[in-house]
Amino acid sequence: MTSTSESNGSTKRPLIVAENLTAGYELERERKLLTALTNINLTVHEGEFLVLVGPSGCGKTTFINVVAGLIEPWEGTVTYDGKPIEGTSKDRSMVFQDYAIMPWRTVEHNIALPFELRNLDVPPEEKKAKIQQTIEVVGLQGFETSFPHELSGGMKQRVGIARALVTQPRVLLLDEPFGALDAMTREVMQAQLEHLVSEFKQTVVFITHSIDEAISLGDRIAVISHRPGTVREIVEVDIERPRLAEGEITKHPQYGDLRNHLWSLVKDEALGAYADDRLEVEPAGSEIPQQQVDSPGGGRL
Amino acid sequence: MSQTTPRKVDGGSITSQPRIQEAGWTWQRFWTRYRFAIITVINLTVFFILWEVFARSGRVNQLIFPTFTDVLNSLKIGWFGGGNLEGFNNRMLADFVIVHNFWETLKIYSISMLIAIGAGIPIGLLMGGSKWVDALMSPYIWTLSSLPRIAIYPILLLFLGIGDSVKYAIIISTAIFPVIINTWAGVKTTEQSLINAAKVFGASKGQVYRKVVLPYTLPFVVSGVQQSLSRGLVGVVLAEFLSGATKLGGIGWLVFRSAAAFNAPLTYAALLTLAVFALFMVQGTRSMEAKIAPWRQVTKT
Repeated sequence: MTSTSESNGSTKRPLIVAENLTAGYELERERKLLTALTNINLTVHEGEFLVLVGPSGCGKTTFINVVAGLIEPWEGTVTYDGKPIEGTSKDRSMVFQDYAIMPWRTVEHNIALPFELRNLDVPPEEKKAKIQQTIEVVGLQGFETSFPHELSGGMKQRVGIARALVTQPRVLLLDEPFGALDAMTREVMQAQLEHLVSEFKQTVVFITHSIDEAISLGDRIAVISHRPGTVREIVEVDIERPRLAEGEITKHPQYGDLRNHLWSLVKDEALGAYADDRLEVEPAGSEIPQQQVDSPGGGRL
Repeated sequence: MSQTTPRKVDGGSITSQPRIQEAGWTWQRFWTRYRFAIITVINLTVFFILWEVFARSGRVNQLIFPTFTDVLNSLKIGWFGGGNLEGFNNRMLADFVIVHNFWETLKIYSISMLIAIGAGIPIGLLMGGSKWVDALMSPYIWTLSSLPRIAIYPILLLFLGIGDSVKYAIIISTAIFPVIINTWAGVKTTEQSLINAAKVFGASKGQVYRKVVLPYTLPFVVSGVQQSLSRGLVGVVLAEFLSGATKLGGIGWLVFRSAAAFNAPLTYAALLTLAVFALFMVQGTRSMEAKIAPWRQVTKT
């Protein structure tokens, strides 16, 4: 059930390979460089659904931004299809936690954005057909000319997903896509996403901080330690697809063990992150036990 | 739920029935819809009747507080003539006197506003878009925008002499800063996630500016223009007060001079003209905002 070796990898080709990746960002106001992740070694195989789980602020988003080509690694390399990632690519689409759809564009114009920006050599009729097809796939027919403010949160994120799918990229990067949605919408969207991915056969990197979401979606789950993040363990999920949604996956016989194991990993990290945050606020006379501060990956204060 | 229902992804029942239907006519809806207009008409009628009664009561000097009917009479003569009054007499009232002065004000005001907006938007965009321009311009922009503009009048007068150019200078220097500052703020606050999304889907630097920053800034520009229009109105009346002795006219000049000549009805008539003009302009720019940035309608109010 748990292994850091990639037993699945023999049949599947490595598509995204991160080696000794360290990355972060600059806090401009405080004139500080913040290391978000350090020494990440992680392989994403073609056609795989990889979920990253970790406490907030552990650098999951930084990882996905590096893979997307939005930011550059400080150290180490990330390769895509054998070549180092240089800038963004039409092969890799992204879905954002806060949707990031343009409020001044209608649904169909938002979904048309990737064609427009990449100047893809697609005939207009084909482009139109693809947009319409994607709109139907995500269930937004009838809302083509609506503006985002007229849509619910779930519908907005479906626009975000449609925009990411419309050019049929090989890789789908999802940064806590359902984090802002209510529980009911989230379950529906999870099922839809699983269905879409199995249909389009994409490679998926999915970020979440919900263990149940990770179990109900991932082929493998990489647990990231708290800041600066590094891969603590990779857990394989051998549950057949299509899976039960987040709320019902709890009934699956394998769920209990998986959840306990993941939780024991994540709990340490969450406590460590909490201790870090507390220490940053009150460096002296803190009541946080030293033991917790020394948990793995927490050396940087 | 996702197990029992077929895993087909569509919009559910949203397309089976029109989403928007005509609401039937009821007194309740009629009142909800028109109550503002009805209340306003009653409110104003009562206001003007009370004005008339109070002015005629003898408790106030009609030299200072004229009756509403006298004001209406001045409005009639000032706008439509028929008073058989040749030229300016010592009490200022003449056929079409309001029209002529209003026209003068309108001319100077609109030319100044065109210049202020036409120059303010590019300056704001440049300052927001380039750190260099921002650094170079900031000290002047922020100092001048905080300085009460009337304080530079003596210097403007020395430079430009008495005449229309001084008016233009005052109005432009009053009106340009809200446009610059709002535009600048719009560029500066453009949501990073929208910029990231554009980049992920292949936007070049220029495309990020054209397709994200500019549309994002547009509502800010509109509210900057709104503020400018009302600030400019202050500027134009101020300029006309200050150049009062020069007989260059304008509605502000008419207010000032008619009050000095103790022609209270004309003063009030000129003021009412100005008030109605200002009101229509503010309402006009509001509908302009709704047209230019329809996606902002919901977030407002």
